[in-house]
Amino acid sequence: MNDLLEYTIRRLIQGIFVVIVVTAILFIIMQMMPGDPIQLISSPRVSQEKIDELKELWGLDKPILVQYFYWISNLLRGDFGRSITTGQKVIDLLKSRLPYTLMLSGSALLINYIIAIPLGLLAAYKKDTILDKVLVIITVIFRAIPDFWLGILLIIIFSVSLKLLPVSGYSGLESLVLPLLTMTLPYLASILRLTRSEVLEVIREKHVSTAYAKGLKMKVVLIKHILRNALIPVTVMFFLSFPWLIGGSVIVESIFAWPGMGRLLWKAISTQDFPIVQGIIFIIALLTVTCNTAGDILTAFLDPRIRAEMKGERT
Amino acid sequence: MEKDLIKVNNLSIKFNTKLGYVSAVDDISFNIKEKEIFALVGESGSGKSTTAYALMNLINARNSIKKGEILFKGKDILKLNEREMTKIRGKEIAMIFQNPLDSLNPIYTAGSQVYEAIALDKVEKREAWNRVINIFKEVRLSDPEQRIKSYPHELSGGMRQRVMIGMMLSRRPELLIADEPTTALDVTIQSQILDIIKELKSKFNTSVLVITHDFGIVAEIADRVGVMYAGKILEIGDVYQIFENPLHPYTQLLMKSLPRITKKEGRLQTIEGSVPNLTDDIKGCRFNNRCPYSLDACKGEDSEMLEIEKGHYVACHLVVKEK
Repeated sequence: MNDLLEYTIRRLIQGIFVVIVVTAILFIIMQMMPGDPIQLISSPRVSQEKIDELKELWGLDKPILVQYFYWISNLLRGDFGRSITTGQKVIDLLKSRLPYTLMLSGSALLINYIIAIPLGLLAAYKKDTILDKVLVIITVIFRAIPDFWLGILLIIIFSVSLKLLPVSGYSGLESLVLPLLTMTLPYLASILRLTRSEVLEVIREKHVSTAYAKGLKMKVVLIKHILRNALIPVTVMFFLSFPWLIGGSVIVESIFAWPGMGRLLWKAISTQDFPIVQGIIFIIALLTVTCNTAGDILTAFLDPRIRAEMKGERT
Repeated sequence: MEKDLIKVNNLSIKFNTKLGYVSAVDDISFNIKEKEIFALVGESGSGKSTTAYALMNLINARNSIKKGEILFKGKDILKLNEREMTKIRGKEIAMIFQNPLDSLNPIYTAGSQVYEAIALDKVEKREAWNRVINIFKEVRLSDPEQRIKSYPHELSGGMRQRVMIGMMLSRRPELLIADEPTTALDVTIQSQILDIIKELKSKFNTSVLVITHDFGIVAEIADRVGVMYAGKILEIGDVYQIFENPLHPYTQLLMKSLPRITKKEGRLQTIEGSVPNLTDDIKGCRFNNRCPYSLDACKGEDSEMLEIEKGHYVACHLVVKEK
């Protein structure tokens, strides 16, 4: 287990570098983007002195490296800065939005895996039968539908025509249904196919024959020797897709006017409210690094071969 | 005369593939007596492994057709359902596989995988672990207390095959099927593994079915031999009869193609041609296209198995004609 601890620490240090690089690139991109936040919030009649004054107030007159340094040092003290357009503290905005995003993305991710893993197992067991083919084709069709289109289609069917569910915004759990569907249906295919192919691969392995040959019941072989092995890559995929779903929710949150981080990010980008953009990207980068590390550590925990490789890597 | 432990009658196995039905095993019959080592010898693709998997009832029913019967202590294995078969596997018939490198589950320790087998017999935990350690001693693994905690990737091929043998003999089965047990191993390890199989076989009174392509292994451990070619058994006899008086041209050619230290000539003799395509409906003897003595009769009807001397059977028109 000591190896695991060492590995974790090493991965976290790597992670810090990744976060620094990501935020630095982000800073440069925001700088290169055409337009200027001060111009967006002020009218052309505002005098040049006033603009310079505002720039000085926001620190925009300083060189980019200095700006970056200020931002990082403030960040370390928990200060994400203030929104340029509304003057609200970014940290407060994030705090109010994060629960909604987690509610949507988190449940989408969970439901996705809860549905896709058993279906993938079923497809693998019924390989080449009609059931297998239908499952794969249906999920692939959903995969091919763009989520913004699916979202609008669902709104038209269930909200506008059938008037069953709210169109947008958040007014209780029923508001969750449509965005959740939009975020689940297209992504079932990848988990289903991953589970299916992993299970098929493990079934072919000799150690499964061994398990049968020593007299284990089919159910025991299935759970202890097939699923336990096949789900290792699926578990890793779960962790890797978490930050990605928060990014992916930008579009879905915008369609459904969901009061989460995704919509906040989208609005902030369109108004060049860079303290918000930077704050959110920072959180996504942080989540990515944490989840990747967690995924790697979990794989090592689940698979002794990976633990052996880690040892080899160190010596 | 020992009793038959297993008797295979007219077993045929066909697989449904994209190219049509492949007849992997065609109407074969043989028996394995109690406490004997029976070897099935043949080239790759001759159907010997398929036969072994059929004895374990481990052939996927969905894409295969099985005919004939496999009588194990009077019961037909092919007629048993999965639940009944689970009781026989490991407990009465066990099997070790060709490649020990991937025949153990990589994510569990060697010990726990053997423990899993022993625990099936409702053995109390501490007692079961003691047995695991004993088994590791029996298959001559050094430092068994440490080895039970090792993962498969930490063991060499020979060690893994020892774990497999130990695991499969841990429930004291009456028949052990060893499918190419030494093929993936070094020559020095090979003979050690064969010694262990022989030793434990006499200790536990187990019958053994060895599947191999190597006459050297046959000479070393088998009591009786069946020679397989393209899904057919061509000749059966005890090991002396087969080695000293091979009757079927295929057996004779196989013997000639063995490397011998006493022979001075440079080149090894080979058998011309290749195994026929098993998707074709083959008429007559399956070896006739490669057989140097092929007769007209060989292309027509398939020859019956004939007992030439006591316990020595052969299926060949040439032998019939000469008699």
